[in-house]
Parts: sequence; C-alpha cells; structure tokens
Amino acid sequence: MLGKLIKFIILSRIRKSVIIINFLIILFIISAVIPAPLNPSFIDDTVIFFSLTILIYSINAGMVVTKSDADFLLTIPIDQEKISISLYLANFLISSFFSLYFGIFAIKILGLLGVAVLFLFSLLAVSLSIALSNVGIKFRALFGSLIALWSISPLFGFTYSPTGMFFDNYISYVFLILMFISATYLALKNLNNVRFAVFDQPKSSYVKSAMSFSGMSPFMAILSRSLSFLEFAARFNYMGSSTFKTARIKIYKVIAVSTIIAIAYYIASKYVPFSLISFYVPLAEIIALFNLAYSTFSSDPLWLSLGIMEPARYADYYLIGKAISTFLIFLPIAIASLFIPRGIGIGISMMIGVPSAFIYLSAIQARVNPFQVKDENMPGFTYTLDQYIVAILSFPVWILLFVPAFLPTIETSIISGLIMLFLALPFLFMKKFWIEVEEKMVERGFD
Amino acid sequence: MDCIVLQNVTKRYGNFEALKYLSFSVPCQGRYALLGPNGAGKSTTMKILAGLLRPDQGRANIGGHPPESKEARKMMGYLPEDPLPYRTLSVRENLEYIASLRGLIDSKERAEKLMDLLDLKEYDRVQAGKLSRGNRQKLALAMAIIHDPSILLLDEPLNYLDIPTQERIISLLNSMNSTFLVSTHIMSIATRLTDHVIIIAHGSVIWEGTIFDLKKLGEENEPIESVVAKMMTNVR
Repeated sequence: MLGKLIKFIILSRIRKSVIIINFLIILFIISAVIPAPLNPSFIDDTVIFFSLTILIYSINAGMVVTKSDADFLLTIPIDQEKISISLYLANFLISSFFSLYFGIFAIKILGLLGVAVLFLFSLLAVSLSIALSNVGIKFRALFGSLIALWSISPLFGFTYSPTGMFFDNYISYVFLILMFISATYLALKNLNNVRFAVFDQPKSSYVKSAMSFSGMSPFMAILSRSLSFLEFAARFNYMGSSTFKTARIKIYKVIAVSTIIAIAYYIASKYVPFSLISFYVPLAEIIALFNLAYSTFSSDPLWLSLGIMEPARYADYYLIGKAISTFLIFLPIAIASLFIPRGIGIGISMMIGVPSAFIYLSAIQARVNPFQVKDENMPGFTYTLDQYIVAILSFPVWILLFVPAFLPTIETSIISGLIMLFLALPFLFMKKFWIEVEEKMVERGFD
Repeated sequence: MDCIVLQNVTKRYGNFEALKYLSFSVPCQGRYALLGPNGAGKSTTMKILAGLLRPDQGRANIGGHPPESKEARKMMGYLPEDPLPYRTLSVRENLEYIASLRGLIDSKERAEKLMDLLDLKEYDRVQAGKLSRGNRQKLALAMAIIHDPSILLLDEPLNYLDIPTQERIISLLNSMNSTFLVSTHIMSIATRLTDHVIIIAHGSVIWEGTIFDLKKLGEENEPIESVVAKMMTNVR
C-alpha cells in the first residue's frame, strides 16, 4: 500500500515522460562524468551544491500538498500516518532523483560512499524543510544560512563540517549522520502539522500603502505598478516539487537587498580569486532572471491583461515596465562589477543585457509554457516537456550572459549585450505572436 | 441591428470539436441567455466573443467589429467563469488600475461608486487574492462593468454569491441599458436577467426563442427547468 501511495503521489506531480527524459539525461551525464579525470573544481562545486540545497530547502520549508491531495488523498480511508509517510518519502525520492544532476560529482569523488552521502543530503534537506515548516521565515533564513555556512566552510579551510569528507576529513560523516537523525526526528514529529496546514484559512492581507492609479494613462498605470512592487509568483522547492505563492514586495526593498549583495560581492572580490566568483555571478543572474520571467504572466489575469486591450500593446507596456524594474534590481550588482577590474565585462553585459534577456525569456515562457497561479498553496502544476523546450530556447541567452565571465573584455560584453537586445526587440513588434500567446493561455485554462 | 453575432463558428481543441458551425445573433439592447449542459461549448463561445480565442472557421462580431479589435474591447465588458482579479492588488487598486488601463479619467470616482454599490468598501485595502470567493466575484463583476459597457458578456455571473447579494446584482444588471449575453447552467438566473434563450449542445444551437416560447413547450404547470432538461437529454 505504501509503495502504491508513493507511486501515486510522484506521478500526480511529475509525468512519466518527464521522468524518462530526465533519467536519460542523468544517464548521459553519468557516462560523461564518471570516466572523466577528476577536476579539483568538482569538489568546490559539489560542496557549493550541497550547501545551497540546505539553504534553499530551509528557506522554502514545507511539503507540497496540492488541492487534489487536500480534497481527495487526505480524505480517503487510509491510516493518516501512512499518507504522511508516503508524502515524505515521495518528496525524498523526487528530490534525490533531481539532485543526481549535481550529486553525481559526489559519487565521482567518493565512489560508492558518495551514493550514501547523496541520499543522506537529500533526506536531510527534505527533513529540514518539513521540520522548519511551522517557524517564521526569519528563523528559517538564519538557521539555513548558518547550516549552509557551516557546510561551505571547507572551501575556506575549515573541514569540520558535514561536507568535510570531500576534503578527506572523515569525522564529517558523523556530523552528517547526526544532522540527518535530528532533522528526520523533528520532521517526523512535525509531519501531521505540515500536512494539515493546507486547510488553514488565508489571513486577511491589508495593503498598508495603497497605490492610486487614478488619472494615469494605460502605460503609466502599468509602469507604476511594475516600478512600485515586485509580484513574484514562483516559489521552488529545490529540484523537484514546487509550490507557488504570490507576493507583493516593494521594489525599493528588493533593490536594498541587491545593494547588500552587491557590497558583499565587491568585498568578496577583494579576498577570493575573481575566477572563482565570476562563474557564479552570471549563474545567479540566470536563475534570478529565469524565475522572474516565469513569474511575469503567472500572476496576471488574462481577462484583465491581454484580454482588455490589443494583446501586443499590453505585452509591450507590461514587458517594458517589468524590464525597467528588473534592470533597477540588478543595477547595484552591475555597478559593483564595474569597480572590480576583471568584472567590468560582467557589469556592462548586465546593464545592457538584463532588460533584453528578461523580455526574451518572458516571451518564450509565455508562448511555450505559460502557467497561471490560481490559488495560493494549491497549484495545479505538473512538470511537462514544454519546460525543456523553454530551456532549449533560453540557451542563447544563457550563453550570452556567460560570455563576459569567460571572455572578460569590454568589446565582448557590449557585443553579447547587443545580441540579446536584437533577440528581444522583435517580441515587442510581433502582433501575431501575442495573439498566439493569448490563445495558448486560454487553452491552458488561464482565467 | 445585431450587437453580438456568431456565424458558422467552428472551434477545435486538437481532435475535439468544441463548436460546430455555431450561429446566433443578439440584437442591440437584447438580453439573451446561453444555456447548455456541461461541455456544450458555452465558455468557448464566450471566450471567442470576448476576443480571447480565435475561431478555426466562421466569424464573430461585437458591435460590428471583430472581438479582438480595440473598438470591440472598448465597448464590451466580459466576466469569465471563476474570475481572477489581480491577486496582489487591493480591491480599490484593482478597480482603479483597470479603469486606467481602459483610459477612463474618473477612475477614482467610478471605483468608489462600485465599491459602495456592491458593499466592497470595507475591503478596499484587502488584497484581492485574500478575499472570499463571493467578494472576489463581486469585485470581478465591478471590474467588468466599470466602463459602463454597451455589450456585456457574463459567464455564470452569480456564482458564489449569497441570496441578498444575488438580488442586488440582478437589480444592478437590470438597471443597465447594455446588450446582454449571459452564460449559465441555472434557469432561474436566465429568467431573472434575460428574456431570450439560446440552448446549445455539442457545440451547436438546438433551440432559440423567448422564455415565454420555452415555457409553452412544456405541459401545464411543468417547471421550465424540466422543459430544458428534456431538450438537453433528447440531444444526447
């Protein structure tokens, strides 16, 4: 029965075809990584991957319980504990499966012990996510950051950490096992609370400083909405299960956070070789842009947006407004890059490329795989192959954002930025494209 | 003159034919109900008329213009089934924002008036995503009529509303001079809001006429719901 339940839960979240495709990709990666010579950067990347996993799972605490689960799975006459355990194990299996993408390096470095480490980290991440689900975001962020900092500490020479085994400190297995046992114990104790949290009534949410759109032209109304707050609709549980929440965050607060990151990045560049950082700047840029682009239309009601004026006109106004706000969010990091000798290229590329990359990625996402968040906490979201088509079509932008990290000259960054601009501009002029987007959205059940 | 026209409209989703050569028209100022069983094609019809979907074949017209045109969108108000306002905007922001997108200069006054009329004033600062289903429906209706549309397409307009609110909205809608096409499952809503009925099944019109004619089709004292039910069953 447990097996049946786990299978049902997994397949209600991820389609079989997606599992097969991922399995084939992972097999391909395994066949490429295992025979290759061990590159020392594999160790750094693996430690960073595990530390990030812990951080993200701690911040995004909780377990995905869909509306269908709440309405049907949780009401069937089965021992409730079995359902809880199945949800927990299904989350673990999904997360372990997807973590193979990077976790394969752990196997490459540690051999068979790497398999155990990989599964222990996946269980630890899922358990932490459940154990922390009822505490506030500040505590989760602080706790997750401390554990992540501890996990990443071997990169700075302190190997008494859960990831110390990658630097031959075997006492770290004890740390990892102890953490895993404590997190799993707390998760199992908290499991029923997490499951039933889905039935909580939404708290009334008052807007303290309301905006007035009175007397504004359509473009100004859209622009001031985009520049006042960020509507972020996607919330990922790392590598697998996803939930979505819409949030209204004031843009100046987001810019304040990006300014702090920019200062930290500038200071780090003084102490850490820039070649180690330069890879992660465009990587973080891509992840942030991809998530922002994913959110672009997911919180927009179709009948009030593309449906209220000519679709291309609305899309132009909306994407320009959002591209400006995205540019402002990235601006502090771009400016910081300009003050780092080998970072000038990244800074220039960010300034020219970010708005264009945002427009390109949002347009591709809207046309190929539009998704609308209809009800908080209860998404009707499943993984589809369309996501891979989006990934493939986004590839040119990924490459162009990485170019200045590997070829850090002013010329290459200007050229890569301009190419992104040329990729994005046509979307602002293609009337038929946005009519097709509107149709696709209707067919996908957008309201 | 006809304000809403559908001529031989066909719409397919893959192999499934949702609408088959569907034709009907609603004269200006006319009040028509679109009835049909589940899966008859009512919402697809409404979406085509609202300009959100294009027919594979045939022609749709709103006030003499294609539904996706600027002119049609200006004169039309559309309320979808299970409408979703901007979740993170407050009730007042939603109304003012939509009024501004529609180019209305007095958006503040219009928002105020509709909030008063629909008892939404106490929620004016609440984010729409946190409203109850009923209040969300009221807000959506306010957003659909904020520009005083001359043509109104309403898909299940009274969903989730309590009886006193239903009554208030029925009288509000009846006080408007717009052309109505109301898609509904519920015959009593059709009789309160409209005087003509178009019944569709499997994507085609099976009957069209006044509510009076529809009643006459049944036996003496036979409820109108039973007449409609028989018609729909006979088509299956």
